[in-house]
Amino acid sequence: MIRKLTGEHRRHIFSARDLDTSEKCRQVVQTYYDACVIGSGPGGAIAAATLTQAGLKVLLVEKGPFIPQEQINFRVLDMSNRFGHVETTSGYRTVLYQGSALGGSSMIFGAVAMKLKQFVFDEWKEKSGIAEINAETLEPHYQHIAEVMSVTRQTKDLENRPNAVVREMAGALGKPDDLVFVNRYTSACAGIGLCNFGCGVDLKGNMSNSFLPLALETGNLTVLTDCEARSVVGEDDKEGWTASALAVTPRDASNRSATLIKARRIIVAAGAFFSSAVLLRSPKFPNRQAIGQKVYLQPHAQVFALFDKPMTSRGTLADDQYVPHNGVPAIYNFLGFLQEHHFWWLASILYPASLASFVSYLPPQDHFEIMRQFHHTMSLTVTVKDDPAKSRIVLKDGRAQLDFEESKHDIESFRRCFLMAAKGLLAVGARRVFLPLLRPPVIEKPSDLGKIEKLKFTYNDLISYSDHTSGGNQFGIDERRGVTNASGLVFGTTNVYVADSSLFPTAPGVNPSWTIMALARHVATGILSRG
Amino acid sequence: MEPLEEILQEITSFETQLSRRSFIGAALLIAVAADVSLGKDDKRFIDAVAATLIPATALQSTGINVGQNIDRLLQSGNADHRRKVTRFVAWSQRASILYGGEKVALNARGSRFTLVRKMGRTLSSLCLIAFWADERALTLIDVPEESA
Repeated sequence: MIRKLTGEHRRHIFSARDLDTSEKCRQVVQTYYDACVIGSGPGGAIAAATLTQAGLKVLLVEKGPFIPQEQINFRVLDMSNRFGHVETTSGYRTVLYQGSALGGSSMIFGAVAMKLKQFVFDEWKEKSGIAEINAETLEPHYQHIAEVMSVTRQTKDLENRPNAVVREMAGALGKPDDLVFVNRYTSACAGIGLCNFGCGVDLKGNMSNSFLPLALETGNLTVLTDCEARSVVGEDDKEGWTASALAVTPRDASNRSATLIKARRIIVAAGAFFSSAVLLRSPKFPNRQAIGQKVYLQPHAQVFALFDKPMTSRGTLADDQYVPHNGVPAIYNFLGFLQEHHFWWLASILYPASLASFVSYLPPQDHFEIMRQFHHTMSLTVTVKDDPAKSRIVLKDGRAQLDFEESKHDIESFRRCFLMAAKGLLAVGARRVFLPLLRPPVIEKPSDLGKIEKLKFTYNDLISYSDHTSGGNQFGIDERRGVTNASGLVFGTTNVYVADSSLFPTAPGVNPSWTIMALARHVATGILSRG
Repeated sequence: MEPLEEILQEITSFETQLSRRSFIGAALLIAVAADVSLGKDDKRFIDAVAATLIPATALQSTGINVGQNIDRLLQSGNADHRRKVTRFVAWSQRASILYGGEKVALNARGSRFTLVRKMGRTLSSLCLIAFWADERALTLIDVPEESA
């Protein structure tokens, strides 16, 4: 069910840019809260909703702006740069992408809701030593989120041509049973396929039209946007390190002195990159050597294919907006190689500008020719469940950076993934397959597949990105195996919690958002039960 | 993942790596004003580069101005992103002295330096996105013969 952010809700949303001019805004930062939550994405919004519905006074701090639904449209020139924030690994191995607007990454995700596979829960138990976070204990949280966000299993009647290709590929590769219908955060998708732009028709479930309105309705939530969390302020007492405030500055105002927001608890849910950064910037924070270690990227890449038959239909052009009507972008996840070889794929969102960018290495005439045949192309988003050789958040001049090096194992997963994807695409009629490399081989026939087996590449040669970043503040049974305990409480502190993907002990495999929400609710209900 | 976002991050990386490398020479490291939009020279350079990547007939028939569209893309992003793009364009313009002037995006692809190849791809992508994200470019795409 979609809940609109009404005018009444919006009265409780402030921008930190107004701190110098608005008395109301100044009052917001001078109030003492039961909890201050950093980040309004799938982790922070659920934590804030759970706490406010139980009567706690909460301030939610979001680095990005509030973008009202009425400002969202389908114009690529206007929307492609509005919701996201990008970072990179050291040496540009790959790109990290996350939401930076009220609603966080839920504004840009593709609305695919997946529960973790059992083998990932098994990995988590082995890595963390904690048995109590498992499929059974998270199930009530999964269900609650499903009810609020109308999580709906997709069905065969929604299959469009790119999804049919994914299904046919599973058959051609001898793994038809490993094709699974995904759930989506919507019960009424219009099939436009531009979920990454925030959904201009407001049919995609995100935090701004689900949990945030619910939390604002309680009257217990205040939201401060355009506000960057710098550090947690606190000191040691006899119980442990105790936070007293969050230091914040308005976004893009690094010269401004920090404002302290006082709260009884701090809940960090700024995503795997920024959550670790905030904790590492916090003076005298305990157990800092463990923070930000072992971040997982679960990187994606796009494999394009050109077919003789059309893959997409012509959209409509109205009010200078090109609106595709190609049906639900992905109804299947193909998981046939996930557990053994650590990769999977689904049909991806595709629009002319994205194709233009991804095949930009082609000679100009070839590029134009492919673009002319846009409706005959489709794209697979391939994803590798990674285990990097080195991947840790470090601070450099106060700015966080991901010190990263991919593993040979992950390169091999990508190579095998490209091989199987190309093999499958050719088997179901692709005329040419385009691999996401700076200098890709030409793949037009089965005998070309040998070129993929001989490919030598690193992440430097790969056009990849990560929006499933996780880890860095893993839960564990003790300080040697994690940053937080099973309740999300940071070891050595009395009142600092983590409630986002940085809790994950290993990469999640499938789309992580549903599990992030479930874990955040697990953390928040734990806080409530302890009082 | 939005392509412009990817480009912007490549620019960040490019910026970081440039400061560590010397092979391109001091010409690339000239300080560039952190303007919030492309200057006239930058737009002329971008339009010249775009003309090497996109057929002249396509540019003429659609009336798309790639430099103007990049400016429009920048308006929707934050100040940090705008600064990175304007700086990258200025750097690319200086690098073009070594890589064939307006053909820099094409010539850089053949470089033995990974960094230069990335610059070539980034510059190509920036121009091509700014062109193909414009609704007027849709007239260049073949209408599918049957409903998909």
